[in-house]
Amino acid sequence: MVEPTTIRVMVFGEAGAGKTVYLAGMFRQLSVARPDSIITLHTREVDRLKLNRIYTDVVNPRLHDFPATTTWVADPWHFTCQFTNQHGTFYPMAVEYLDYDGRMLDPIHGELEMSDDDVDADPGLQQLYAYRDRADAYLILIDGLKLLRMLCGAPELEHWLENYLGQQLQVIERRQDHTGRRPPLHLVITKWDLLDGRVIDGEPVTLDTIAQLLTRQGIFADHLERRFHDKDRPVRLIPVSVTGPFAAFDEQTGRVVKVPGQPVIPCNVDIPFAALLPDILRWRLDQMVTDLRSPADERTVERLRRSALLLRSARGLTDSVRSPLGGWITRKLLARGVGTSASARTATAEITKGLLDQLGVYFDNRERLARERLATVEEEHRRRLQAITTEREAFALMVESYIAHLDDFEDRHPGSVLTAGVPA
Amino acid sequence: MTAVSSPAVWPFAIVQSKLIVSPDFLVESARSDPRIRRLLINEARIDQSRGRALHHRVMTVPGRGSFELAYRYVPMPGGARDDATRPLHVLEGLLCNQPGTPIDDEVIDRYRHQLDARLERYLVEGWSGPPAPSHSEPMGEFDDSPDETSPPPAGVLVMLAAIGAAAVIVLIIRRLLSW
Repeated sequence: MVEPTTIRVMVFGEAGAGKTVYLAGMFRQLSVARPDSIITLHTREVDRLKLNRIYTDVVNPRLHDFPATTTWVADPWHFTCQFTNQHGTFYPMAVEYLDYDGRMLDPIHGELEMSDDDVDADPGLQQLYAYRDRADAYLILIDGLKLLRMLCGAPELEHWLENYLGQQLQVIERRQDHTGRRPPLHLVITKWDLLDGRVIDGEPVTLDTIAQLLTRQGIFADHLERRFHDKDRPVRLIPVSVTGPFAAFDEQTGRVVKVPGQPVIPCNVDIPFAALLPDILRWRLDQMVTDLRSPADERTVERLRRSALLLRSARGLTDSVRSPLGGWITRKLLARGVGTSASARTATAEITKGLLDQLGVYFDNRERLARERLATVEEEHRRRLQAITTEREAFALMVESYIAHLDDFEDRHPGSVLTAGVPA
Repeated sequence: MTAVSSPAVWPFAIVQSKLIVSPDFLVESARSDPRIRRLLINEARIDQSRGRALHHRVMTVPGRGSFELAYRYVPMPGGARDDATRPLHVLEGLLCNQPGTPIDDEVIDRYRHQLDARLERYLVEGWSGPPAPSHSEPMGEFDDSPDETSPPPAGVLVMLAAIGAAAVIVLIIRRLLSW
């Protein structure tokens, strides 16, 4: 098996947007295999228990309120992805998800009003920036409650969406690679149940309404245009709800409340992850091919082959010089006036033969060792090739299954692919 | 009894990642050192899956040494809510100059009086500028020898002696009068 690579997912989300609840809901949904989701997420035991606790607090009707805001932390949660199909069980990657206080996204101009020195000296912020700037994929969470207020005409939110999207896109733009490709990006509307079908100004809110609103935001529209050529990496708009009808907007108090008696029906919680997977898996497949053609391996094979050939030539040389060398030594001894007797010549010939035999055995052993090592390396190479071929087939199957899952999502939510053009 | 010492404690409070009340010596040092300004916010980390449970850790203050940090994340008094309509929470606790000092919820409650006015003001007026300084208070002697029985305090002994002396004087006077 190829060692899993860790994929860093940076989730942008303001305070209250629902990062923590979404994380707990996503883990709940993806930690158990389902017919439409073959990949499962696993984490260390203590984190599993913590995420379950957060989720059960969210859906517990006896706890009146939703969990409090996350405090000043920027520690990533680590998950291993596992999937099983007819080719075996695979761990294609590990995924990291950063949870943090949303105020950290704008510590200077936001409500924190931190100074430049404070930002530089803050270890939590530096951790967040380091993670954000090395992320492999991005999700921008848009708070459904804030969106609802904006659609209802809250004056303080008039330019909120454009400013918020613009700030996050600046960061994502910096991650454009030398080929011009940008990392995967999807937009996630949280608390979708508060918006879905709500009648505002005589019109029901739909995903199309929101998609149109987003594509009217100048900076975001420009960004989408630049991604238009990247057809195999679409930007999606994904409405999610962790609780479904169990949470509702109380018009009288203006609060999001739990509705005991209503069922908890998560909506699209796994889709943002599923939308990132095909991109990431394709990238992983490319990486496997690169790994297979490792220059270090090829150099080792070439070096061992040359050594074996050289040693065989040396062995051959030892046999071919056997009689000329014996004659040459005898002539030298005669020229110096030593070893003229028959017994001395016999002794000299014996010694020469012995030395050449020893040399021959030495070359034989070295050649055998080189060939054994070569066989081991080639066997390892073949084994890896087989493993990777199997894993590639398994990955390809998984990519297909996720694309089918996303197609199904697109059928249910036409207009969710933002890069396909401005929805009608 | 083994009277170890009398640790000093400073209350502090953080709301929405803003330091509202901070120990006076940290407020003083923070004027010139941005690392100190962000120290408590970065050190007082909350594990949200633990609800209102008390968190403990040892914090090192540059130039001052180690301090015991005990804190909890609880709803703000008065039922205030944030923009997402969740109950607003305050991260409140104590900084103690003797690491290892046992601090529980009751101890934190005892020193909360330094936080109340400032938190109320935060709810009404919002926040800007540096935090309000909290002042050290002695935590009182604590006993680390639980098996020994404590003797009565000196005041009680003096009172008992005075009552005894008065009783003796009354008895003497009565004896003299009856004579």
